[in-house]
Amino acid sequence: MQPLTDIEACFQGIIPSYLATCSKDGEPNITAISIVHLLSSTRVGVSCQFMNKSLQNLRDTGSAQLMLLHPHTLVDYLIDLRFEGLIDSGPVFQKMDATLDAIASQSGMAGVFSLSGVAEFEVLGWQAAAPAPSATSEHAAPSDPIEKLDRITELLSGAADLDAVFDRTFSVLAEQLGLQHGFLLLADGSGERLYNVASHGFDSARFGAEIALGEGIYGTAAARQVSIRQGSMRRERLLLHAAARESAQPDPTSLPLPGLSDAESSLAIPLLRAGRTIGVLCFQSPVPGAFTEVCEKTLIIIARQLTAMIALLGVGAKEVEVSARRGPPGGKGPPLRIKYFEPDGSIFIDDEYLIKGVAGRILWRVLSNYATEQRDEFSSKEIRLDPEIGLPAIKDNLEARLIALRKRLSERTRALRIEKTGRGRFRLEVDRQLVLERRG
Amino acid sequence: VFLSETLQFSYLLGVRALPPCLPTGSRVDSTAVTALSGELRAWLVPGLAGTVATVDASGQPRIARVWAARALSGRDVIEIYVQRSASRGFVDGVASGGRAALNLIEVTSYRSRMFKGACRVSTAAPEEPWIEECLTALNRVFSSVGLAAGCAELMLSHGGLPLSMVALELSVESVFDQSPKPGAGAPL
Repeated sequence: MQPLTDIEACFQGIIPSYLATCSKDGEPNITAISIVHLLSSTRVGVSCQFMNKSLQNLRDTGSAQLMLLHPHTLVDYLIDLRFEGLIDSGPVFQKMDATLDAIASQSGMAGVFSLSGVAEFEVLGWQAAAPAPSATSEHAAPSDPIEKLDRITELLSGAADLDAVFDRTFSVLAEQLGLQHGFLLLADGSGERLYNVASHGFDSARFGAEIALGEGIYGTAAARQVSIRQGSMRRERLLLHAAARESAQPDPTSLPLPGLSDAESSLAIPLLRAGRTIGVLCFQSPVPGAFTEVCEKTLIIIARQLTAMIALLGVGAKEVEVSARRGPPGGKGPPLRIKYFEPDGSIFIDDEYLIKGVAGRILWRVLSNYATEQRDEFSSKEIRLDPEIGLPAIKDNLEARLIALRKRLSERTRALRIEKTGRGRFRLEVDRQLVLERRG
Repeated sequence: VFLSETLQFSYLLGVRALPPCLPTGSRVDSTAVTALSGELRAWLVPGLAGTVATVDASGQPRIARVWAARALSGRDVIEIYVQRSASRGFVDGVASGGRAALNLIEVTSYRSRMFKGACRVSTAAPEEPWIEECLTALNRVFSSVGLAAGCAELMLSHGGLPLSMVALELSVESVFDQSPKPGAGAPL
């Protein structure tokens, strides 16, 4: 029997499949299945949500046949199966449950669907429904994944600081794996939110954009600590657009994550360290079923190296003393009007939303110092020690926060910049006069 | 073994001169109607995506893709067409077991129904224009959900040309709501 990986694209849920079963007295039953999971080259799994009769039949007779349509060649494949059992725990169940949660959350339907179990099948045989000369295996000459991994890890390990890691990660992945659209979310110190610190291949990079842990595909991957791959996002996109149409007043401080307007595939790889989620590597593609299992596993390995590098390079230089250098006031062009809303730490520049939360409070802190003391150089240590900013006592992720803030500023204005001046030290550069307004 | 007609799809070969369409469900029978309500009959229009399953002599379920389906007038019977070369296991299974389950889905809404009952290969003459109408409608709904234009023809072409269809009649005994939702599978 040929391995099922020959038709891996059939298992990405791009086009619904069908499962036929029969009762003890020979009565057939057929139901549509949104996705069939490829568990190994000879085993498949089907998530059980709305298939009571099929399950009863499987328990009674154990026989089943699947029909899957190949999304690229449009060849129908028939797979003969023997039911092995219903799984309701363990890694396979956890991964499918997380995927279902992620899709439901992405579609604004969290809590509607629940996974009662995963039906696991042994594959007895499979073939094209209509064997024809055109129905061939999709095996292309695969490039050597070890060679690519070697090259990627080599390029990444050359990064000397977090900034370089974030910049290099996506360019290397684009070059070596052809992943053209991706971003990196890091967990904040509380572990409840994720913010965007690196972005590649989108119209708008949206540095500093935040989501809650458990929100959407990426938040769910972080919360459940499993990678989540989705091959067809069309339905979710339609539902989201409908939800957006129906929503009353948009939140002016809402900055959505970067994304392709025509994304069809999505992949989320959590960065895990000692049982804790420190971030999520996120990818999108306009091509349905773009991310294969090999791609997912390759990225899981890369994510482990990335995690180690972030942990190593993200430790701030706490020994750096507070700087007291004074800088010249900026004065090119009209004044820059900056509003700070204390309750959520949100900052608006000339009435346009910039950032909020910890990053917003950091920016307000340095802007205030700049305005009152005409001081333009700061240290990470003084930011950490300021109770108003609200950084957690441990694992504050300040270095990554400053990178996100710096990149977000560069997205929105040229008149205000944060430049790294040394380990644990940065400078605020201002080209225009500032008019600061604080609101409670 | 197969009593149904072989359909030569001239439109797939580039010849599009076809006779005018006959009204949907034009065959009439005096058998009492019970299982197929007026609402279900109205729902059975060209453009539904379909699959049908039976059980062969060894007890193995067999699936085939359905390319056209309609309710026959005055009877609780749905006439369906499957492609011969892609449905050998299914057609053999029907010949031995005689039972089938038909799943039809309204692609744009996911509204789905399953019909169960006795099934046999039909002896009636096929209506090419109606089948072409069904394939045209399928192309329309498939492209509306992102599949390539003309995908019905491409899918059928894997079974070889000229196309050969098998007509079957499913005597509907029970109908189930299979739309994806809690309680899916309830009888109608």
